Amino acid sequence: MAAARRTPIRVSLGEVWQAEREGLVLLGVALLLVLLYHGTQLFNLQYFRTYDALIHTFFGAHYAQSWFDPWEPRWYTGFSLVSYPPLSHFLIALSSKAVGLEYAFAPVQLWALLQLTVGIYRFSRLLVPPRAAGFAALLLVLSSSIAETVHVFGQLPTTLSLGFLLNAIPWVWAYLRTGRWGYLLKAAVWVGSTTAAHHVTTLFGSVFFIGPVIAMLLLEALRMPRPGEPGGEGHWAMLRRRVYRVLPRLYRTGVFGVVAVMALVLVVLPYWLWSRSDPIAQVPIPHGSRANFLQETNMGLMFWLIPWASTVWFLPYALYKSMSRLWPIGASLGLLFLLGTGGTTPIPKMLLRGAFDILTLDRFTFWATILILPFAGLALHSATGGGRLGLWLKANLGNRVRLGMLVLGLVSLVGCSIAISTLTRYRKFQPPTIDIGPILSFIEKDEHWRYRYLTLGFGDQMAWLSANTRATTPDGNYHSARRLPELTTTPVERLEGAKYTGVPGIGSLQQFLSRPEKYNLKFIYSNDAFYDPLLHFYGWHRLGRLENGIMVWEREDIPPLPERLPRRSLPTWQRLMWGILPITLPVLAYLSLLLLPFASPRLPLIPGRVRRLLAEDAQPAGPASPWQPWLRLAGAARRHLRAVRQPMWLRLLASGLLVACLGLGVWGGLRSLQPPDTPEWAVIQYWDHLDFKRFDRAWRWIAPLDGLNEERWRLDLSVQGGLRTGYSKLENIRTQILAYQGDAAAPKVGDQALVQVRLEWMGALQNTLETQEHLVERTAQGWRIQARPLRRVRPPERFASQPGVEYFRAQRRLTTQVSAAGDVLDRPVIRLRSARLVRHGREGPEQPAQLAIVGEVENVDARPADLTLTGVLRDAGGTEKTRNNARDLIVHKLLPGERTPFRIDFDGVSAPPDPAAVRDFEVAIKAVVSARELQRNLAIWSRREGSGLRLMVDNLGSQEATIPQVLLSLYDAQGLAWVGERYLAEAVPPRERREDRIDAALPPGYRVLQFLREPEESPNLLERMVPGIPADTRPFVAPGLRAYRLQAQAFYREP
Amino acid sequence: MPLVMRWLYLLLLLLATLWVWGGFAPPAAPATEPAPADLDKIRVTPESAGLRFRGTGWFRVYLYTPAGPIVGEGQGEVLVPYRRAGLLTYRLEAGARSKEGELRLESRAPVTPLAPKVGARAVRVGGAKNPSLVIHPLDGAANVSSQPVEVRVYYPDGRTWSRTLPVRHQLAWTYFPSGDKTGVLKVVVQSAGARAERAEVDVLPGRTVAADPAAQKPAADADGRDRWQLTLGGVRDRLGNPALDGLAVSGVGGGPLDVFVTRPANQGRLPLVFPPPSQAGNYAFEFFSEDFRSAPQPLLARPGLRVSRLPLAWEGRVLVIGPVEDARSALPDDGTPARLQLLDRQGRFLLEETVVLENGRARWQPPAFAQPTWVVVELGGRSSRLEVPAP
Repeated sequence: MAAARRTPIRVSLGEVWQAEREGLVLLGVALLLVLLYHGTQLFNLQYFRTYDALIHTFFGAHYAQSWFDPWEPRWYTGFSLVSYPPLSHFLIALSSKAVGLEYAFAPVQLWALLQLTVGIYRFSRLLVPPRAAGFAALLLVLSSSIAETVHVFGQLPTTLSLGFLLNAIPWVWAYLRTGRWGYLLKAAVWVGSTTAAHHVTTLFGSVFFIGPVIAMLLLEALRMPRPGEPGGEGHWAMLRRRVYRVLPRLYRTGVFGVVAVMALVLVVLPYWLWSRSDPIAQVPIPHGSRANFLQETNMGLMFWLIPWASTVWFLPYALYKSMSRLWPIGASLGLLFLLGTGGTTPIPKMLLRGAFDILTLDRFTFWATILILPFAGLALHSATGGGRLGLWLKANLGNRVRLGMLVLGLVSLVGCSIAISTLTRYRKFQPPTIDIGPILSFIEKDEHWRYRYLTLGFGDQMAWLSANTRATTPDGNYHSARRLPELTTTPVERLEGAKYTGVPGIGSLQQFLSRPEKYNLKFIYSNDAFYDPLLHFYGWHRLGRLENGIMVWEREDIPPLPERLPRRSLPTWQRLMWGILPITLPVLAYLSLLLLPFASPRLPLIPGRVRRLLAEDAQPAGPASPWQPWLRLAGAARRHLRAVRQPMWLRLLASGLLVACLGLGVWGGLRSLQPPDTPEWAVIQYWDHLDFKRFDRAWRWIAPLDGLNEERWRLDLSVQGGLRTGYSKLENIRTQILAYQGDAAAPKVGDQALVQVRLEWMGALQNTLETQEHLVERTAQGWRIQARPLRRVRPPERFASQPGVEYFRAQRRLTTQVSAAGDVLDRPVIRLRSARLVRHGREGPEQPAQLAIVGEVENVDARPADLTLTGVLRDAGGTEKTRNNARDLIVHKLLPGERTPFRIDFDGVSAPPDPAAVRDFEVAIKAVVSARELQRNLAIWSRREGSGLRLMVDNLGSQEATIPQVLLSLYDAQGLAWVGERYLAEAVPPRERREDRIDAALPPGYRVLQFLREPEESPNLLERMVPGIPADTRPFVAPGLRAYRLQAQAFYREP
Repeated sequence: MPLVMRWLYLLLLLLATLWVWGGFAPPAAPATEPAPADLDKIRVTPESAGLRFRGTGWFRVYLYTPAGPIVGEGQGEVLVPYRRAGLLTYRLEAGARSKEGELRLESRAPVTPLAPKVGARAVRVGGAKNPSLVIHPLDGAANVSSQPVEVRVYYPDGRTWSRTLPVRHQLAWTYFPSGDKTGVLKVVVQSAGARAERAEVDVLPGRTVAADPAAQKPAADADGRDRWQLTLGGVRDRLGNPALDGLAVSGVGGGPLDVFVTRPANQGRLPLVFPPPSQAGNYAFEFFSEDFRSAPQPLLARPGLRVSRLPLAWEGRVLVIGPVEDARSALPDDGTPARLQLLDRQGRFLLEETVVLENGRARWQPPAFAQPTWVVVELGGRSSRLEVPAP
């Protein structure tokens, strides 16, 4: 065998060209496919439904307007774009000049994909034969990971930078092998271009792509004898010889390393300076790629199964082929594979440590699916040609089966790629495309851009809106740049999708909504009714629906933005550097292709003796060293893979076994998808379908009684409004069987079970726990929930309205003035009746007591008032410690003569660290005349029930009170002591009654810290305060309490 | 090939250099320098178009304004288009000499229309706040004129009130009394022949002090459908003006249960129709609005059902409810709900269902469980508990 290996193989130039031509033809086909397949989808604006594409478009829109000014004021009250390498965005900016902003992303991504395809071919050529490299390029185009990265995630810098990197590696390879400076120059500009597109790719790409290639070259050098190398026997002599052999390549590795680091640092130097001066202080934002994929199978599907779908089959082959000189590539692939598994194993966290919570680990999976392509290409090359794999398949399964498998593989590959690239069409990741035209018109009208806005339920389309308007928003879609404490202290991804991050996300949104004046936030464009109750009870009101269906919400009394916003300026040299270098490098990179690989006659600054040591004078490599154990293993495996044609019956048997295995896999998969048939499962499925409004599927879990049919059932559902009808999402469903009739071990038709279900609803206002009982019956179709038609008395009076008052809202005058005096709203007279600062809550080491200001205000004006109440806490020196506004514990819109209790809680990021440090407080009230949200249709009956009150709420109006809120005022001898609230879970239809319960006691640890002092001479206090218990209360006997009062308001669904 | 490329690069570099050089080249200097003016002889005259500086020879003017300097230059005459009143400083330059000076521009007579700002645009009779008027009488160049402003207020009862206001600190202002009569109050201002658009203030009723409560239907059945009917009429202020529309009126009642309701009054009247609670008994209801508190209105909630015990019986495992009669010996409406709660031996709640009466009757079959269970039936404010027969 050894003798055979040493026999020189003679290959003619014609054969080489023939092989190369086959590879190039495949590459050409791959490039054509990129144009046809990906190009069609890109120019069909498929990327509008992706996650990231519109963010890059927004950045590109910025550079299209101001190339050399990286300050972007439209998100997060302003941030610097030097926080992200700009090449992709520069290209979008340039592209937008040619094809417009809407299409600008498509040509850039298309170019990135073409470059990537060429890159994978050139990279693969270093490792595998040309034909195999051509297959690798074809596989790239059809791979599921590219389909997902481009058409689901919408990532551009990743594809662009990886294309540069893969194209740079052959130059690195050539430089290390030949030592020609021309190659180093090319490698430098291509690596620099990689950095300009995405610095992380350079950073990790050096480790996972360039590193293994260099390792291969160094190992190869060990086997390449040099003239004049030290001779001798023994370990020491061998070591000296090896070092002598590897020294030139080691030196060139060092030179390239310095050049690569310089490229990494210099090309985006302003970025490094920015990250040093303004480090990211964001708490980790959860990302699905860090999840345990076995527990969170959805995340596993998204971040593991889909990207690996088309190439995971080649892993065993890659492992097998890695047992050769390619082992560094195999090791890199293995490490990437492991890191891409996220939190499924503890290894990624151990390896990455703190970076684990910052990085998105799907990137490692993506790189792994790219790095496996040379192996996959090799497998196809072997299977389609006369390779060992093809021979083995032919011998053991027969040629027809081999061809069948190849065809099946191709069909699966294409089908999988198409299914994934169009995933966003049939699986909803983003809301339907929003026509932003009406919003832009609204923003430009009456200078609404002078206020900040917020979008809700826009998904990533918020970036598209931002890209097209000059108005600003405190939200944004680029986490690294945000610095507002309300955002950095919570793991909320975007405020507009706060509900997807649960309670912390909602909490963050609440802080912006409760103190909108802090950020001049006046308008909200809502595409998600989930937030409607929150907006309503926080004092916002609807202005109306735009032509595109977006609801505009407004908050009164918000000051406009100052004419000049604060900004952080970069030194001019940095701005010039940022605007010139990253775009120049790719131009130089492409120009460098024209450059011949010149060699310098002498190495600079190197003495002649050393120069001789570093000269490239190695002889062809000898055979691989037998010390590597995996080579022996591979040899043994090769010996076992017999390519001797088997008899027909054996081939048939093997084929049959293959088909059986496939069938078994499909059957097992389908079976695992079959749900368990239990009473609990029936209840869980029913509520899950209801939560997602899949009514037809929910109906399938119903066993109708008393003539109930689907139409009637849907009608009954439609008349049950309230928190759970679109205003909250199910967080948890817990079931418990209370009673069972029959044999639970062997259920049969007719068995019954009483299942209690505890539903935890997450709403924008609060989480609600609901308990229901279902009688579940075993039917021929399985367990089903018994349900009867809903029979309720619907009083005829619901059509008879009671008299009320509607206010005329005059249109703005037509004037050239920005704010005519006539358009400035009056400020009604408001009286503060009482206020006190209280401390409450059980104190513990981790939970300090909380502070709140409670009191009452009254509208003594002739017009309705829209209130904004601010509480300010001061320390002993009079310095303001914190401030907050009354949120939902107040009636924000008051009728003339009406009064409301209020409670201002100090929590969230504005919470004072130490309540003991607070010595004084203030209450600031401002109001403008309002004519909205003034329905008062609810009457409340109450009776004492334990420590609380049983509530019966009557709707006296003719419109359904969708979400009623009852405010409870508890009085002690000095006046209002505490304010509580209760949201009814169910809507109250006109002239109907719903019941609920409210706790009526002072909170634990309640203590009055201070009463508001009435200043003796205050020019602003026109009405005196009125302490004590008002007359319109009812007695209430409880410790520390004398009386109580109930007040109701409601959110009314848009008719 | 490399030689060609090198020449190509060189050519590109040359072209780029020429282009950059051409773009940044300074403008050509004037061919001849004009003779500088004698700065001491330059005179300035305010005109409607701006300030005109006259002299002999070439000179340059810097006029320092709050928004920054305005620069003008010319031969013999320079017009600086600036007309805002106040103290201005300027600097003249000619050749190597310069000179600074001050200039005070006075405002002119105001021009029509004047723009009075009146607020609040609605006030209450006898309220703590009187409306105010603020005006900046502007001349043709948008300078605040120093001419006094004459204000005349016309009240709804025909009375007038007038003042002459001096202009101080760039504005003239005053409070004016809101009067005792509701209606529209008109404000007219004029200054040196200039007049204003008319401003108006709504004078609305003062705080409520009186009203007349009445109960049209003080007794109703507690069956969920019958209703009490009350009216609060004649809601008025101390001058007898009917209460303003939209005024909040609260109703608070006590009895076996408490009740709270707030509604807006309309034209001084508030009709209130609402059902009694499910618990029968005597209730007292009071109206509140600002400074008014009514006498308690007695209300009666009669039992919804005539029977003292709910008619319940088992037919096998089916619970039969009824026949039920209401307070008027009639069958309750079809659809009247009966609430059923199933409890286990420990009184633990198992299931709640609602059945409705048809012809005064309802039937319900509880689920068959091996463990003993009890059912609690609630109907028309009454409830009964009975054991469920074993299956």
